[in-house]
Amino acid sequence: MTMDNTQSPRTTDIYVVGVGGTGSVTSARFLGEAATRAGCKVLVGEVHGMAQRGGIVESSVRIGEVYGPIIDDGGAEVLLGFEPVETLRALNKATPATLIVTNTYPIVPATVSMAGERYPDPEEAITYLRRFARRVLALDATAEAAEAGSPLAQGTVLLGVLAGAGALPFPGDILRQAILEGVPERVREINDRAFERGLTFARDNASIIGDLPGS
Amino acid sequence: MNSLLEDRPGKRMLMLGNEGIVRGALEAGVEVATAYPGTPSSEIADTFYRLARETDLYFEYSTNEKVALEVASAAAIAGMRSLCSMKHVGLNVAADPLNTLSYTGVKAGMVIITADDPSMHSSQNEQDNRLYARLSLLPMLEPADPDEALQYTREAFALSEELELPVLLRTTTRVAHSRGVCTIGALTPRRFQGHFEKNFRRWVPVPGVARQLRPALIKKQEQAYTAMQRRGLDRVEGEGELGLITSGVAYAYVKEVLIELGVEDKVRLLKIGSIHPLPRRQIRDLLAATRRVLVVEELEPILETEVRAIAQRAGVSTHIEGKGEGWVPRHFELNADRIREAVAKLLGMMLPPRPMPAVPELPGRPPMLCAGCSHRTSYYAVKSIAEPDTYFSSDIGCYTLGLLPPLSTTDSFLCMGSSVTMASGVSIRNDQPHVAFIGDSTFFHSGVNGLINAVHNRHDLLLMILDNSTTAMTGHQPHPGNALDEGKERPIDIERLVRGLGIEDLHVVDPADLKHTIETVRAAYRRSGVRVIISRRPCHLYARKMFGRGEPLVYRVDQERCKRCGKSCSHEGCGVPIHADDEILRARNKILAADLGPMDFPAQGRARKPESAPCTFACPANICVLGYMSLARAGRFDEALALIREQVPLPMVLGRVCHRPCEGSCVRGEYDEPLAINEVKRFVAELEQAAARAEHFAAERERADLMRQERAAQGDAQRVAVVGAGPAGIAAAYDLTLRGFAVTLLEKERVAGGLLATGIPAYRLPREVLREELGLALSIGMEVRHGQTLGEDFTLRSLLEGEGYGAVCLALGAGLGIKLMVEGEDAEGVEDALSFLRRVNLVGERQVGRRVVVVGGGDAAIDAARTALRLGAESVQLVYRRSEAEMPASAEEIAAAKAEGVEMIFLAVPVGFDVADGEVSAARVVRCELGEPDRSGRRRPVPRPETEAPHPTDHVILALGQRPDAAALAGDLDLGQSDRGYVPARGDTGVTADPRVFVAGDLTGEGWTVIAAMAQGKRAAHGIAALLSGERQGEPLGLRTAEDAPADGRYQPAAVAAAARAVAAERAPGDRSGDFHQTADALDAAQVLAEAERCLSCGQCARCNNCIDNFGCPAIFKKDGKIYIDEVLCVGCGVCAQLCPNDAIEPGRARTPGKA
Repeated sequence: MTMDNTQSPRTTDIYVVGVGGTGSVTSARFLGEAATRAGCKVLVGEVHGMAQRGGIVESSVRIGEVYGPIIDDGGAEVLLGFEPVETLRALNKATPATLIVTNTYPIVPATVSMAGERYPDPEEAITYLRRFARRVLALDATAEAAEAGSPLAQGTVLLGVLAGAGALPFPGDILRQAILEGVPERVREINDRAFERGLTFARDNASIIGDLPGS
Repeated sequence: MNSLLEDRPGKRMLMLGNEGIVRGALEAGVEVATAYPGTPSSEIADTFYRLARETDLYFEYSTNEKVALEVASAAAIAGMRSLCSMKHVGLNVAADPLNTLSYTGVKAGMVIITADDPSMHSSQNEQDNRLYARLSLLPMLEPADPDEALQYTREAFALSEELELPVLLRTTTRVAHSRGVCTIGALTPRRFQGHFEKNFRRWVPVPGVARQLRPALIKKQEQAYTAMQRRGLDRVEGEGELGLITSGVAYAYVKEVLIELGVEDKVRLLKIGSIHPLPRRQIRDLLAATRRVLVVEELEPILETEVRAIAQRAGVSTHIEGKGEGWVPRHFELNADRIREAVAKLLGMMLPPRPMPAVPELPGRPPMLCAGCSHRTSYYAVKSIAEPDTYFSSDIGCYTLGLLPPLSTTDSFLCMGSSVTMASGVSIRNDQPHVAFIGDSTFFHSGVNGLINAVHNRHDLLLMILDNSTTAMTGHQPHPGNALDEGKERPIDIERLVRGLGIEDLHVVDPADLKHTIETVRAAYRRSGVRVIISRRPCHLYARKMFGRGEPLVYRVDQERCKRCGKSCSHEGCGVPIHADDEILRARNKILAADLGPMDFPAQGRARKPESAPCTFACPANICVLGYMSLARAGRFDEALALIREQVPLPMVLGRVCHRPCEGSCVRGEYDEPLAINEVKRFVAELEQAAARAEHFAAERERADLMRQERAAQGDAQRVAVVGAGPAGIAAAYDLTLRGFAVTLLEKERVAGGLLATGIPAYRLPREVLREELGLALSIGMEVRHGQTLGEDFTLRSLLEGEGYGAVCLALGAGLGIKLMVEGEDAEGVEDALSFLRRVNLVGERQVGRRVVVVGGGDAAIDAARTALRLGAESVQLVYRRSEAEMPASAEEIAAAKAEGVEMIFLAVPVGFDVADGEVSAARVVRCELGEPDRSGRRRPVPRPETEAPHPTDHVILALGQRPDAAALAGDLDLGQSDRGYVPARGDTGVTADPRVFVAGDLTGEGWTVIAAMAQGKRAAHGIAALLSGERQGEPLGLRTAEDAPADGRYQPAAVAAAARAVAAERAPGDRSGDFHQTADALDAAQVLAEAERCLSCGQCARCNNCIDNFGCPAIFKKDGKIYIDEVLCVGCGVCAQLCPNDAIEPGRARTPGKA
């Protein structure tokens, strides 16, 4: 909860946004599960139903002294975006101090082909993010995940970045464990590698991250 | 083991609110659970369903909420603890049993979950079901988070058993779909000791009994109040003279705002868990202790109203705020942002403004039917046959997403099952066509009732049951139509059910077989009465979940075929846009003719379409026939005309006189009869109002002016002379004028048109038609000089060297009649056909012989014969040296001439003419027989001199062909003339031996038709433009012939349904042969639509966008003007390949492992 753009020490609010099928809901669940294991109070908000049919999928992960699942406008400590334009669309949840971690791999909505709407260049979207927030970590998590063995592990890459950036109020290893125990056996190694790639990316971009509460 | 079955009391687990409810029920010993899935309640049912597979718990997905509630309540009446869950609107369906169940009550604990959806995340309304507690007089609890959901459910069971009343538990989306840490308690074992104990005074609410039960229920409210108070579901936090009353998830928002404002302990906050009956004592206490109170609740002012009533009863004057301007909104869900100001206002605080990020306009991302969704295919089939005004009555499920473009197949719905009944109602005394859609699960839920009603009341109803074998929208729950565990469930066959209602008009289709689906839908659409089509194909996602990944293929777009057309016009291409509605019809014709089944595709040994239809190449001017047929089929007649005008300026004239080489090449001709292509052209050209026609040419003039100014500005002003204002000269002059050249058209006659004016009789081409269209075409900015004869008034040399023209297009025609070279040919009364027709058509002479003999077999011969009849000749004999089959004149013309009374004498030729007093008196005719074929391939006529016989005549008209008048060019530039006076056209421009002179029309010795002459005129214009300004140097004009058409074969659709060619109305021969009024009418609009419908669209279209404009699969996308298929999203259903009118989609490689 913020009123004056300063980080609230009591809570870590992570706004997760993606497109149906990108795995953002699963990632939010892993965050919730890890927080629970770490003994934190946590609420994970999901919207099911219509949003799953290729629409926008928003989840919230609220860790700390929280009561409801909704993250206010300007209320997110972390904005975790699975798709660059959706990250940009969710920017109202952020403040200039918010850590933004976003995938740059674009998923162009059908409205662009059918209704002639304009899909901004991913670079352009990132520029808008950087113009507003000081700490933006943008990477092609889909490609990173493919390198790790499957593009479906993109969420794990992003969570690795989050853990590596020290954005979580608990050790990153707890999140890693929650993920590895939560995914099917056959993709465990892929996810482990994907998480490691995320950690590495965060380490390589430590200068952008700066100091975060909980790090 | 499912983690919800863990028996470790005190353990903290992360659970979804809906899972908390299940766990709470297990802890209370629930034995029977029923549900109809619906967001946001579905996970309750799904979790129970899974648990029932590993325990003895009984769970069923019931047919609908009413059924679910009745089954669960009966179980509880029989002593089994039960839970029934549904979304908020589901309780409307179950409201009937609910409101009497409160009278009878239950024996074992029963909890009814109503999951409300403020903000309508996945619902059609946001009704506040707390009102149902007040309506039914049942206790209701409301948790604020997942942990409370667990605890309250357990409490609700205890409360229910204590009161012997079912207890309502209301959640909202933000509780049901939140995951929070829950502390679990101990599980209670299931007993399953069901037994119905008879008690007439309790279970049989006839009026006499109900009148006893009702006062008892009211009395029980006090008992309920006490029991709930004892459970401590309501609590007060903080102290202060400002009060807040809230419940459910609104508590969370209030709490967070208070913390944020730092006033958590300065206000007295009452958090209510017992929604009905309310904790009135705690409310009274709060009112007594505070000065002002704000009630914060989502949706209706239910707490607020009761708080006000309590205040009034308690006689306190505390100021109460709740809903209202500046306070708590009544619509949509709350959040901290939406109540912050109200709370601050209550506290008298001010809020600072916050920075808002700058975000550009972003593309929408609405939820849509998945790639490979069978509903899309069903909708596509319907859209391809439905009239634009068709009313689409839809229902609730994934398929509601058909409301989005491009499908747009949802015009209305109200609630589950309403598609059937709304279509029934709308169709009462209303001819508007309709199609109703309902999903399989929704059909069982409440659609079948409407269908029974439709049958019984003889409604007009076309119902399409979209059977994807699951309840897809809410997460693939089973329904009565399918059974996952046949030991526990028995599937009900929708087809037999529908047939059992006495519906004979019932069809089952697989939407992936698009052709069969379209045919079935189209036929049913045209019938009346109750018609049902079951469109059956399992949800792709469901099938994949159940049976693993299916089709290994992904499809790809062949860029060589997509958005391509073999014509490759060097001009601007088609300036006429293509429209979704004509594309879908073009695609439909392809689908219906192609005989492709599911998973078939053209490359599998089936004929794919060639780049261009043969008609386009058969037409010397390459008019895009399939294009204008597509437009005509969609009723876009004006645009069809515009497309024709892309190639030729005189469609109205051509529509009457063209010899139609296109029809000769028509693929349709191999199946039944060629399309009446020219008749469609004539129709669209004549349909245009005179004012619109004038406007068109005015716009052309403007275009030409602009081009001329542009050229002038670039210092490229050039003059071009065109000699001869026949079809070739006019086409050249028109084209050159549009290209911005200053054109002078020189014509020796006093009228323009060449043979159009001098040769073709008025009954075929009315003079007013010719005058109007020609006049307009010549008015676009060229100079026309009449009475200018080459060789007399000017020479090519004088034009080029004296007058400074940059180039000349020579289109003199061939005006000299060929002679028989027999005795008596020069006598008075013998003349050639062109001279005769010119006299009649141009000069207006009407002299004709009494007994006329016409010699020849071409169009000119027929024209002369029919003209002679009209002028009053007593008899007209047409003498032709070969048989009828060899006659060059068109079959229709020959038939018309015969019908009017022209006597045809075949295999005969005059060998001389008898002359008396200088005038012809008889033709001496010998019979011929056919010998060996000559160079033309026709059998040579061999005269038999012994058969010579005189045919008395006073007027012989020779129609033996024409040749150019070489005299006009005598002494002029050397153009490389042939011995017979022709000027051969060279290369693809028609240039002559002199590089500044281009030739077109009959003078070239090629073509001999109006359309060929026009094409040559355009060709020459292109050559001149290239010569004078280097325009498009080296680029071919793009006019192609059948010979140089792409050699990719002829389209051979497999299944063309026979349809007769349209025939225009004609005046009776007896009526028409006495005058020069036109003989044949144009087709009418209905005939034109039917004729266009017959077009097989045998080629590709460069502007086609059908898959995106009409199908809208999310796997198909467009980038930089090209269409691609996303191989991650493509599920390999192959429907797009079936419907692609260009045959441009084909199976690509198998899916890469690790993707999708």
